[in-house]
Amino acid sequence: MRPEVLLNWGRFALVLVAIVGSLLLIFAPWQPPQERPCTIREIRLGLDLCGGVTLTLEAQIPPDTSPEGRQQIMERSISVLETRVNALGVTEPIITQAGDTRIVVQLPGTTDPEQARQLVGSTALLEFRKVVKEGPPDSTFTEELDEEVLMGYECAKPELKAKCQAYVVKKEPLMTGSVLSKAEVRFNPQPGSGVTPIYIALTFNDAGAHQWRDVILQLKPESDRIAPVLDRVVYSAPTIAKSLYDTARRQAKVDQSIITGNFTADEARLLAAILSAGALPTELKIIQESIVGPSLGRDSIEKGITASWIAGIAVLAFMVLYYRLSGLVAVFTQLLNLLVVIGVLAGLKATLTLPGIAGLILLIGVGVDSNVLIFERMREELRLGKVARAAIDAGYHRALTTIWDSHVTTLITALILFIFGTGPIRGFATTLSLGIIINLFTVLIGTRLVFEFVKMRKVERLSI
Amino acid sequence: MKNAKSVSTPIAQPTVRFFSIVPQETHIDFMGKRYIALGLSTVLVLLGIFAFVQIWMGHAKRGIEFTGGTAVTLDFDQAVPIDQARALLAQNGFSDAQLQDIKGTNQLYIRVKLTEESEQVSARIQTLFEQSFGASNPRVISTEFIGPTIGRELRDKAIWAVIFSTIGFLAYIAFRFDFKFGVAAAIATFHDVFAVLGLSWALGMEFTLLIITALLTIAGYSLTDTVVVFDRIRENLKKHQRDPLIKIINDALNQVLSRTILTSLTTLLAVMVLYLFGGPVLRDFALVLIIGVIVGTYSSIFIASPILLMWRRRGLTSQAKG
Repeated sequence: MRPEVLLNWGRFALVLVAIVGSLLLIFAPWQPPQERPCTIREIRLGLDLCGGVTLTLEAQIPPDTSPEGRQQIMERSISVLETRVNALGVTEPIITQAGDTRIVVQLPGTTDPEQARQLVGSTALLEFRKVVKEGPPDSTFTEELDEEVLMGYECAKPELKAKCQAYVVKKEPLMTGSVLSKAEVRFNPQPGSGVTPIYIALTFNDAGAHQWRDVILQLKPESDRIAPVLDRVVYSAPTIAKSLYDTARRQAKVDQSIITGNFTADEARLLAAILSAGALPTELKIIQESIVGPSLGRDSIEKGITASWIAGIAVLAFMVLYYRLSGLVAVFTQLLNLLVVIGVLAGLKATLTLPGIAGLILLIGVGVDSNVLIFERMREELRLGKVARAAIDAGYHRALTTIWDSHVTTLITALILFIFGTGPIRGFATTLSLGIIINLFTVLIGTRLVFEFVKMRKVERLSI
Repeated sequence: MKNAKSVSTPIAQPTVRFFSIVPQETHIDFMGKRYIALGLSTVLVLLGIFAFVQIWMGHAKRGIEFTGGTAVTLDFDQAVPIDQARALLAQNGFSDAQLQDIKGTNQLYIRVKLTEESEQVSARIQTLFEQSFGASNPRVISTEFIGPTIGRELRDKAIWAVIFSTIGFLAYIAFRFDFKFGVAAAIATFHDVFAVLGLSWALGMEFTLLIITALLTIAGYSLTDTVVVFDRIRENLKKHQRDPLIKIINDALNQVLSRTILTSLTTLLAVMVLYLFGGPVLRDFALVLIIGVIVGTYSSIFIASPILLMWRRRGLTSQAKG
């Protein structure tokens, strides 16, 4: 075989691999068919398209912490957050460290911002404190030096305001939640006797069970009250039952306790998830928050897809009208381009955002430029009186330098946007830079392949 | 449009005709019109610089990405009159709230400055609207909260992105052509960014991260356009060393004219579709791109090349590289 023919087979094979590879990446037929949120086939969608909550958290680490200490705090924080989010059953959450002290939490499908904030925002420092006094929220207490006033759980809930109480409690906790091994939601079939319909059952580890027994024995049964305090909020203030006191006297350890309160089932589940995952090593402050409702996301993606179709058809129809059969080459090149871009997006597990779709649409408009450059050059050569084959070769080669230049300049912008862009902007930069690189491939290989084919057919006249 | 027929004459003859928007052989004296263009561009750039100062001083509308604060988008079954909504917010401690109708929908976009309890803002706004416009079924469809540190950071990042793009462009052009081509291209690119910035500001646009992205995209687009023209000028410089520079530039511009117009048209087509069908989130972004494509096309013909001409009247031919 002559070298040119071999080269053409090579081009053909490359194009074929690109098409088949992209289709495989997009449709992934080996994956079990299951409904996953936030994906279309194998393409991951940004939360601006599928709805959800994105939070950026900043860890409040003391400035004198060593770099290793910092990293340990960050890793521990991320693992606690992961446990909490998973315990609550959020599907496909993404929790990543961003920079030295930041964590980005993405919760697809979640739209209750309050719940999300609590989930990531509460330090979950559980303490058991002795209650001294309680009273209405506006009462003035005279507390001792070792006491302080904390508000009840109901005070932050508008619908439970009537039950809001303030508590005077000892500053020194009798015990902390670090000895907790498990927290579960339980339902009480017979409300009354001081236990609310929904409560949280706590199980302590071995050390905790010993501690808990000692705590109980310090207290006067049926009179002293002990409050579970989570992040400085009092959940309830029960007395110690006589039966529990007796049990503690008889046994070496007591490994069970409960937290009662006026929770809804959802609130209790959240609380149990937070308690089970343990306390965060540091406070995490929310510095950026973005919530997109599912309806807005759906609307955006529908509009984006419609706009992509219209733009694609309009631009490609224009090319065919203007360049006739050669216009079809542009159609082939650009469809190949789009297919491979989407395939690579799926393969890289990159996220498609709304600006990313805008990038794809822009790409259709800009992408045909390479074809225009080649076609215009071919027309010039034909005008000079060259025959079809010579015009193809000359047009192609003369346009090549310019094509390189125009791709590099666009790529510079796209890469800089990628480096400096955050969130959705990065989605735009990703599709644009991928598109530019791949466009170079489709033009150099795809367009060339078609014209080589035209040359082989010994075409006398070019439809251009 | 001269002739709408495709190739019909035998190829051996030099009078091939194509379906074409631009007449086949144009001899437009672009360079002769350079002073008119420079006048117009001076006005555009001054407008852009003025707009830039306004944005910098905080007198123009800036997105919450840069200012910090909370933005809430509410959707209603029936549109709520914007002045009633504004009055409701003003009575309840949000006197500085900025409201905006989203065209073509019943949605309302509300922006509130950074306060002590920004976390509760969206919930409070929702409650307020539920109490007063309950019949229209208000729903929060999106919320965005940006803390003060993030705002500062994003602003710095945007500035660095602009600086690095400029350096990148200059370096590439200087490497591919020579320094003076690079400077001419950079000036044209700056011209475009400022002109588009000025026009967007005059249209009362809010400057968000997405708009900055559009401006940088336009910088890239405009540079590409300029590079195509410069490539041709360089090619002609080598082929016709005897010709005066003004003729070489004019010829090059005429030769690439149909490509310039066609690519602008296809790009314009795509961004127009984005503007019309892409939904409210992308509308301003698309508008900036539309303005940018037009300005970018204009500048590569009327700004970049004249600068080259005026600067390098002499000696260009002998120094052509590449």
